[in-house]
Amino acid sequence: MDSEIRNRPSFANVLVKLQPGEMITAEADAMASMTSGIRLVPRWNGGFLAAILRRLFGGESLFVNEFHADTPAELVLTQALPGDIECMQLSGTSLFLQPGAFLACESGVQLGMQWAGFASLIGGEGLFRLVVSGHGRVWFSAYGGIYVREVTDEYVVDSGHLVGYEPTINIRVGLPGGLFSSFFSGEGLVTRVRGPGRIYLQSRNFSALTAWINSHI
Amino acid sequence: MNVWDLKQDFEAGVFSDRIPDGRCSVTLSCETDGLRAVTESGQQFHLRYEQLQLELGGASGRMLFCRNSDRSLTLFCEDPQFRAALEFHGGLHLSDQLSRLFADRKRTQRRWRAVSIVSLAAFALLLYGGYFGILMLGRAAVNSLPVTVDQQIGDVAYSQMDHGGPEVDDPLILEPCRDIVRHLTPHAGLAGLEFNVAVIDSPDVNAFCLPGGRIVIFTGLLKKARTPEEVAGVLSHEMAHATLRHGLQTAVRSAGVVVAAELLIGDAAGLVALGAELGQQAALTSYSREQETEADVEGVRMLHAAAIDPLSLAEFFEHLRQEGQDVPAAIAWISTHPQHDVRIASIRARVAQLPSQQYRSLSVNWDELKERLQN
Repeated sequence: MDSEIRNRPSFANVLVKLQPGEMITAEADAMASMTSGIRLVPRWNGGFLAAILRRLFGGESLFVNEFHADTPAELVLTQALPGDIECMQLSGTSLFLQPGAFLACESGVQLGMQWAGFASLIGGEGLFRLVVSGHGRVWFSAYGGIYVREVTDEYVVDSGHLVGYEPTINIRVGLPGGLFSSFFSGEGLVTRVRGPGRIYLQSRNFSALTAWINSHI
Repeated sequence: MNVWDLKQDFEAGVFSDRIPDGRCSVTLSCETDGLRAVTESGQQFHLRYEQLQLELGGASGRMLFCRNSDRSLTLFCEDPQFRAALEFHGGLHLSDQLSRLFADRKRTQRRWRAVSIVSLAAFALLLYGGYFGILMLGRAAVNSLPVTVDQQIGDVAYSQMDHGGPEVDDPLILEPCRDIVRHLTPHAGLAGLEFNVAVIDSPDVNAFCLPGGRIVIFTGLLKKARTPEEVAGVLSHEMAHATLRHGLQTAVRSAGVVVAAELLIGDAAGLVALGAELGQQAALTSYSREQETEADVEGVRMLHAAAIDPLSLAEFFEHLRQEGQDVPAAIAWISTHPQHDVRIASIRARVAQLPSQQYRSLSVNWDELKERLQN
């Protein structure tokens, strides 16, 4: 399966070229266009109960779509928000994704849900987190650009900017400074990530945008 | 633990500059002299037990990181049995490190748990205090408003709400109802309210009074009532909702602190708009249990002051309850007023405490009204 991420970083989309017998799983509503020979098979997003959990707590849709090719075919996948898309190769490894970040994966990748804890909820990152694991490529999307950071010690990320991280990363919610300076600076709660490991960040924060729009209505 | 019970190989990972991406998954084995990690491509890494520096971390907080002294090689594993294997093979040096790490983790967990419980309790207290704060603020705000605001809200709500049937303009039906209201009006607890009566042709056994005093009676209720005093009982209860300004309190409660604060500084425009919105949902005539009890008490007082037997309210409840056993869904007035046994008992107890009085029959054209309703 060949793939290319195009129109980066603002309006990224993934062009996927499927060979006969190949399949890709994508988030519901991710398909922008495709050749007519592709068979679309919707299925529960990891089983009925897991799908409900993902919908309620993971910000993901109830269904995912499998795109099967019987002849050479092309498919374009995209996301709802303007922003970049990143591809990661899993080789028996895992990656945690924040709610709404998952876009697509190859057939060897499993989608799961893990308890993230109340600290994650307080930090605005949700009670559960998506975990993708196995062998194959996974595509995930962000609002704005995506940048990667290797964390060896501790690193501070503002709430709403974390897109994904490796399982070796420990996450805590905290204040960026003292109690008063944290709130009067407008930073509020932040996420403190501790390595070693790699984190993926988005350059824009959608919650901040909605708050800004609300303040101007 | 016996050595034969110990797991020897674990799914794990490695961080090292010697591999292309700096990390990959490995199979980790606890050997006699140290840890051996083998990648899928066959590349091998080895860490001697005596040089191991351990750390706990990862997303779960249970991942064990094993590093060499210059931190150029890190092996990590989340398998719960990995600790036991390390303790067994690593000897006293690792056993001390592991005990310290897990004791620290337990302490941290306990601290987090305590912080979480205190935070949740503080949050619950804040919610509880906020709720009653809004109630008190809303009540104070409503009492500061002139009754013209009630009338504006009632008029807008009446013009926008679904009445459930056409208005009846037959004076033989309307006038007896207006006469009953005229008997009660002088004893209303809020000065300045003007009570207007509309009768709606609908089989629903229902009546309500909007903020400002607009009373709506359904023909279904008039058909069910056996005496004009029973109608007076129902209307006294509904009028009490208006005089106690329950509709406005409900609206303020729905809007929250901001509208209540606006009202206290004299801006009622937001409340009128909200009242119109609530009127479409009939929320202005849906009251809390506490408000229903208040309206019962005030209704009994009004009836007594107007020399109408207050027991007629309890008798109509009882009558409806008996009827309600046959067609409960059709009796709207019952369905919005729960716990009738308790209320009937409460009304009777209240009436028993009133000073004795000679009650009069209402002089309204009741027979003609009933006759017109039959046609």
